Amino acid sequence: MGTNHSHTKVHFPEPLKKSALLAAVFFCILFSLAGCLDLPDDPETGNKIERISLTISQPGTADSSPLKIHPGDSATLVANVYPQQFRDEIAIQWFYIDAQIKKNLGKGLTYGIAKNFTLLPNYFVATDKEGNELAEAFEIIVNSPPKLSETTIPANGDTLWGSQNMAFLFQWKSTDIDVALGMDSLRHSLQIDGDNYPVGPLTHVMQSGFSAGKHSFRVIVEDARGDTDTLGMRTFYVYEKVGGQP
Amino acid sequence: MRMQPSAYAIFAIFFTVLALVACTDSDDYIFDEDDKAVIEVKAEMTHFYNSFYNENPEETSFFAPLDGEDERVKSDTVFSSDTLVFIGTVNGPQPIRLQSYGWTLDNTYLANEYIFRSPIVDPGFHEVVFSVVDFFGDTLSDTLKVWVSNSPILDTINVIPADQSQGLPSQGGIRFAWNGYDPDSLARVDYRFILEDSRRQTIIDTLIHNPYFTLHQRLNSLSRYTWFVYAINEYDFGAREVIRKQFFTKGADDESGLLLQFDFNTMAWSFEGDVSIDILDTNNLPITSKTISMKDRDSYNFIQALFAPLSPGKYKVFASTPQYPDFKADTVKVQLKTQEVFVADTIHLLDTIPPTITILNAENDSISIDTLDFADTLKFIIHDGGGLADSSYIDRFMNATLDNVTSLKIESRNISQSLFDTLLVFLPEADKSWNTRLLHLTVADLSKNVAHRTLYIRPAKPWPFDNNDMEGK
Repeated sequence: MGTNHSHTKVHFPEPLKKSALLAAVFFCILFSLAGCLDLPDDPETGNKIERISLTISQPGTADSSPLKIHPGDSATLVANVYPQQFRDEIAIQWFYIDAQIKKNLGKGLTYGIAKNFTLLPNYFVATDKEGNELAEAFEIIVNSPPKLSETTIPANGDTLWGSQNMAFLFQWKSTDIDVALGMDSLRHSLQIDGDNYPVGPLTHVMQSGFSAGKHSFRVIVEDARGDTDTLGMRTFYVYEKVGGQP
Repeated sequence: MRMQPSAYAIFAIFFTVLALVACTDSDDYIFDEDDKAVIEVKAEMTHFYNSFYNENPEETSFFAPLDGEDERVKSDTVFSSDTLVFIGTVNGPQPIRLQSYGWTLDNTYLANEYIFRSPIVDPGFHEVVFSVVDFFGDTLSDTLKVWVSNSPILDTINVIPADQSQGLPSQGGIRFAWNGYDPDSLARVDYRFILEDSRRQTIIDTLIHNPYFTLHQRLNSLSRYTWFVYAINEYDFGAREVIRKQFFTKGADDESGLLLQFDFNTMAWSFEGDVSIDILDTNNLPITSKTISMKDRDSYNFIQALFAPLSPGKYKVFASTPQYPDFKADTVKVQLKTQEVFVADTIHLLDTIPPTITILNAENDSISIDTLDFADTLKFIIHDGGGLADSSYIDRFMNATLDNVTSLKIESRNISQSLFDTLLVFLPEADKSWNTRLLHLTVADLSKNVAHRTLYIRPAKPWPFDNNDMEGK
């Protein structure tokens, strides 16, 4: 007995086959491109804040990267948030911390330091709106700048008598409260007729080599913290002395 | 049942593998500790000095390095201008097969040679590693440590006090300041400060860490002093520059000083006489005088004399050497200023007088002739008021030809407080001649003044007349 097998074939129309194939290829390309895209993270979990840096500004001085202030001057401690568009999303809490106490000094991106401050912040905690915290210790250096007295030898306009080899006294006076407390050191630089003579802590030297005529000098003092003071240029006149008499 | 062809192939491969395995001694592939080969990898270096230290060894400062040139070391401190020679060696008991070898400098590629030259110019600490990868892929290495530095710099111009400064305090408190630094800003720079008096006697010799120094010691008034500064960094590299400056201390308000320095146009430093110095005023009236022994000359062979205090004004200086009358000093006129020391350092005692050559006869009397009979020994007296040199400064010419055969002898003797030299000229037998010959003597003194004397040497008498034994017979 014979068996009849009947095979049923579904025949798509030719245009339909081509369009389905194209659609599949297109879909695959689209899917690949979509997979290659670097989709941004969820805003709620993204790391938006790159860094927070502190600067100090005082009247008459630019922001200082070493956190240094002069005593007796008011100052403003500023927390700089990068990128800056997120600065409003950060809350800064300022603290003073030592072995005994932890005192909350205030809140805000800036902290005003009064002239007669008693405590300076040395620790901050930054908090974003999701409650993430970043804490960091820092130190504000209180440095008294050096000061040069206006009185010098020779004084401005002085006349000195002597030959070219005669050594003349150059003397000045510099003060720095921190040096007196043993917390700092001073370096001086004597500039005579444009030549620079680093003399370290010396405040008087004798120098020769002055021909008859007009000469000038000035003194610059710098402390170990980088604060300086400069005297205005002094002028003196040298006259040749022959046979012991002017 | 019949086997398929593929089954035959499988059996063939199986038996072939079995045969190969059977022919192999598997013990050869078992690790035996006694058969191990130790490979030693070694890195070494040596260096050539920079050109300055090679070409100017005398001009290097006090702190010039003294390392050997050919020494091989594992670690060293070198100048950035030095050329380093890196030497890598791989040693083992048998020929060693390597996959690769090479050098790295601070983990960056440096070279693929066993031996090569290369400078390391960046100052600071460096690690140079020689690595090999052996046949089995194991990496072996050896490390060299190199510190690279440059010499510190000393400013020798802008110093305090400036060179030849006058009027510095003698009671102490002189401040010295200079500028020195490490060009790499890496190494600490220390300084050696030396203070010497005018006789080059050391007063201060100290090491300091800062480029300034305060002298608290009292000094002589109206005197000259010399100060030196050498710089050295923490790698023992010294600055090429040396500060060498002089200063003078001051006296009272109405006082001056005069520092005289003499030298001779001669090699006469073996003299042991005196230099007599007279200071006269402008009217040639003597003000003061001093006698300095030649033994008191300084290490530079200068004779110094300090006259202080003197009143400011104009003076004349005369100097002479009584024992050596040939030396004459220039007359020096000086002007002294208040509180200053005037330095007259260009006073030359000159001997321009040549020696004299006098003939002695058989009775040792000097004679003024220019003809001599031939004799075995000719005697001459040579005299010079400024010091005679030895026989090497005497030349003799026979018939205008330099004669190296005729021998000489000098005998010194004192006549009337003066030193005279007797020159004995021994004429060789071969110089006997039937003709008159010319003997020319050239004598130089220590100041290179030259005297000449030409003599006729009469021929020797014929034998019968020269034979004393025949006389009287």
